[in-house]
Amino acid sequence: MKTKLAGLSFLFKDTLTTIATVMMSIFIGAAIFAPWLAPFPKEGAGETNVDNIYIGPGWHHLLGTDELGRDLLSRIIYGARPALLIALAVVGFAAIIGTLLGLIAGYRGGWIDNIIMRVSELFLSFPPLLLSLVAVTFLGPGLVNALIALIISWWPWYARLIRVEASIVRSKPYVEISAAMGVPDRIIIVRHILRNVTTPLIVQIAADLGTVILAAGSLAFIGLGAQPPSADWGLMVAQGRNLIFDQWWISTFSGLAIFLAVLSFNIIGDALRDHFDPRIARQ
Amino acid sequence: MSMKTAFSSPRVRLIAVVSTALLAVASLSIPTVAQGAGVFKVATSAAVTTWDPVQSFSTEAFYMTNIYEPLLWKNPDGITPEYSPALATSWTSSKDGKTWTFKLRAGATFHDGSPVNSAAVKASFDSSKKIGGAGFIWDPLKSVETPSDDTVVLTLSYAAPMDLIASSTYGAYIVNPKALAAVAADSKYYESGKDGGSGPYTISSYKAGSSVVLSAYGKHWATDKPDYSTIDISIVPDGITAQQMMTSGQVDWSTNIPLTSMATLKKNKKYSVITYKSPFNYVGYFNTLRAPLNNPVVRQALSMALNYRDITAIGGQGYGTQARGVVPAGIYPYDPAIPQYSMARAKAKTMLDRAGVKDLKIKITYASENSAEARFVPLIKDAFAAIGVTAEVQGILFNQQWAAAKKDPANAQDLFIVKYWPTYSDAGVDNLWSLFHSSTKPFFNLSYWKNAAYDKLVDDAIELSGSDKAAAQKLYSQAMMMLYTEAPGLYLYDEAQVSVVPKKFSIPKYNINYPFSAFFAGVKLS
Repeated sequence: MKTKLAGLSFLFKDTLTTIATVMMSIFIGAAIFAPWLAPFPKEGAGETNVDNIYIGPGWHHLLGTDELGRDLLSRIIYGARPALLIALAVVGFAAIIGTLLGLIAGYRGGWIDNIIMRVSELFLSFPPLLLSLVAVTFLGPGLVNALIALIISWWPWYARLIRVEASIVRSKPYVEISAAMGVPDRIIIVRHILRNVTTPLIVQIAADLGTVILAAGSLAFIGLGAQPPSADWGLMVAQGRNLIFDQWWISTFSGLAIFLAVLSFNIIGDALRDHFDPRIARQ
Repeated sequence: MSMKTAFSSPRVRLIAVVSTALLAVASLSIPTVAQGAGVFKVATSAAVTTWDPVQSFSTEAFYMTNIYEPLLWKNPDGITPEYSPALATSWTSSKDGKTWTFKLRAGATFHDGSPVNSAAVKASFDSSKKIGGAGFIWDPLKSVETPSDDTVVLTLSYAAPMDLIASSTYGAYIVNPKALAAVAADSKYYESGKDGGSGPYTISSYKAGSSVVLSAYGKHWATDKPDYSTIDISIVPDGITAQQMMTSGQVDWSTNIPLTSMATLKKNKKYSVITYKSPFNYVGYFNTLRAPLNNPVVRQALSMALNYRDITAIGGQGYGTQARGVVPAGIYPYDPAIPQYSMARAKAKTMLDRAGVKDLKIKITYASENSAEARFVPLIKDAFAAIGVTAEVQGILFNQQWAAAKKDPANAQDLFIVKYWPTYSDAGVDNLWSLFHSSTKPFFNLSYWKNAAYDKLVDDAIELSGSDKAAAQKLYSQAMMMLYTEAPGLYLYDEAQVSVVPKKFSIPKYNINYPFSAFFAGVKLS
């Protein structure tokens, strides 16, 4: 047990990383235990309370209420769910698709590599958010469609990363010997190549989680992501935008939630990279 | 005393410095518009989808009503006479309402100096009927005769209120025949900023999606010339930005300030917040093709679940009133005697039980770009939940919402929320017909409701409205009563138009008949 925890010591290596780890734990805890943590769980889930609209932050409603009288703290706690879901789903699917294609391209080389890489480059030639915008415009607004749109724009980054790593590993003597001995390609890919690309993959995934939360929030903000009455941080920032001069707390606290989540994921992503990449660790 | 001597005196120098400073401060505090430039700066969300007055059927009406003129302008509800002369100075109709004669204004000219005459009117109406974006308004028109340069005779195939149709905000502009010919030869004719109007302003410049500059037309027939020779309009889709531009003095007037800002602006002594009736009405269509929504009792029960006060308060931010059907207050044939549903959830639940409805699940769609709908639709969901009905809410772009509803009615949404308004100020021929009259292919009748008795009432009323408006009103009222009892729709609220007017300006009042327009010729310093 002690050894296992010691393996995670890099998450507490300095004050900033420790704060980020605590924030991320709070964020994940909020997503999992939202119905128990939210002071007004029904309002967090979307139930309206018209008699309580626009109450400023105070003892009864710590972060105030929104335009439908819902407790903002409860909404923000519930908002951790779609944020975490979309971050994990987008990065997860993009990593699976990208890794699979990157492994094939890097290991096989030749025309397969060419086709996969040219297609990846085609996708990479668009700014990620613009590509997602185009995709979601065709698919229609909504959380699931935003998720699909983000996967479409995210997978090529993984394909390119894994392809580079795979092509390096492929030229190693032990891989060439395995191939010469007649070990099937799929075994070589799984046992030798995939294992060796796991570290950069994990680092990339950790670094991307925060960025995906931000991208999903951006789509929701412009009305193409999650739709009301979903508790989505980007959507809440957008809903409070027209009220920023009078009911400042709606956009401010929702925006703060995005800021802290993205910041904590990014800091932890950096810590992971430092931990796994010996070159950076030496520096 | 030489100049050099005068300025070398310390006292004179001090006076000069102080005077210059005072002048500088004074010049800063003078409103932009009083600097002699005659420029009135506006921020609006009104996009231009076309500059073609015949094709125009969207928000460019904001500009069009300053560049083009119809035969008549319809005055706001409650003002007599009902119409103001525009390019026609007098008009008469035959007893049967099938022949209308318009006398044209002497001396009116298009912006190229050519006269506005009966040939131009005929060419405009023929063109609009044939290819116009709102060409359907000319459906009753059989022929246009031009017995003289200043007389137009309209012959109709059935009686229709031609004065009302000729004052429509879409499809009724009189366009220079040269422009009509030019656009027939080159569909991009208007894109270069040309116009074929006779109105008080011409297009001076246009940057797509960014700005429009209008310049006063010096030879316009009106004796009262505009105070502002230039109208500098910024297209600002975002309401809060438009508000900031006005309050910071970047523009003199913003037309698209969010309703949520009204409470704050009411406290600001520089502005007046004025509320008007508007033609905008929120309605929900039940999918009457599908059980149990094909049962009027179920539809009535769902109508009773809603808290209309809250929906109006949240959706319209308090600027609206519960609707009496689909005809907005202030628009013909509105009838204040038509009853409204009110919240009675216990009764609604009993009605559902009696109808044998259990665990009803319905899918609601609304236009995600409409912020009012996004605000009030969760209230509908909660209201249904209170009587045991589970609603799934889907916010999608209106075009997608509409396309899905028309494509496969049997498998489409259960409740379609829409903001609707009549093309011109006759909600009988538009709202009552378009929204609930039977048709083989759905267009805007997205409840897919079919009722022969209702169809007959509306058809007969339309026929009568050109010759006997009172008799038509009776039939329309019966039809509206039927909509209440049969409840093929949820009648939500009539949206109010809220204008924020800087007190230093006098701006023409909002006209419900031209809901997207601002009339800049009447803007003056207070």
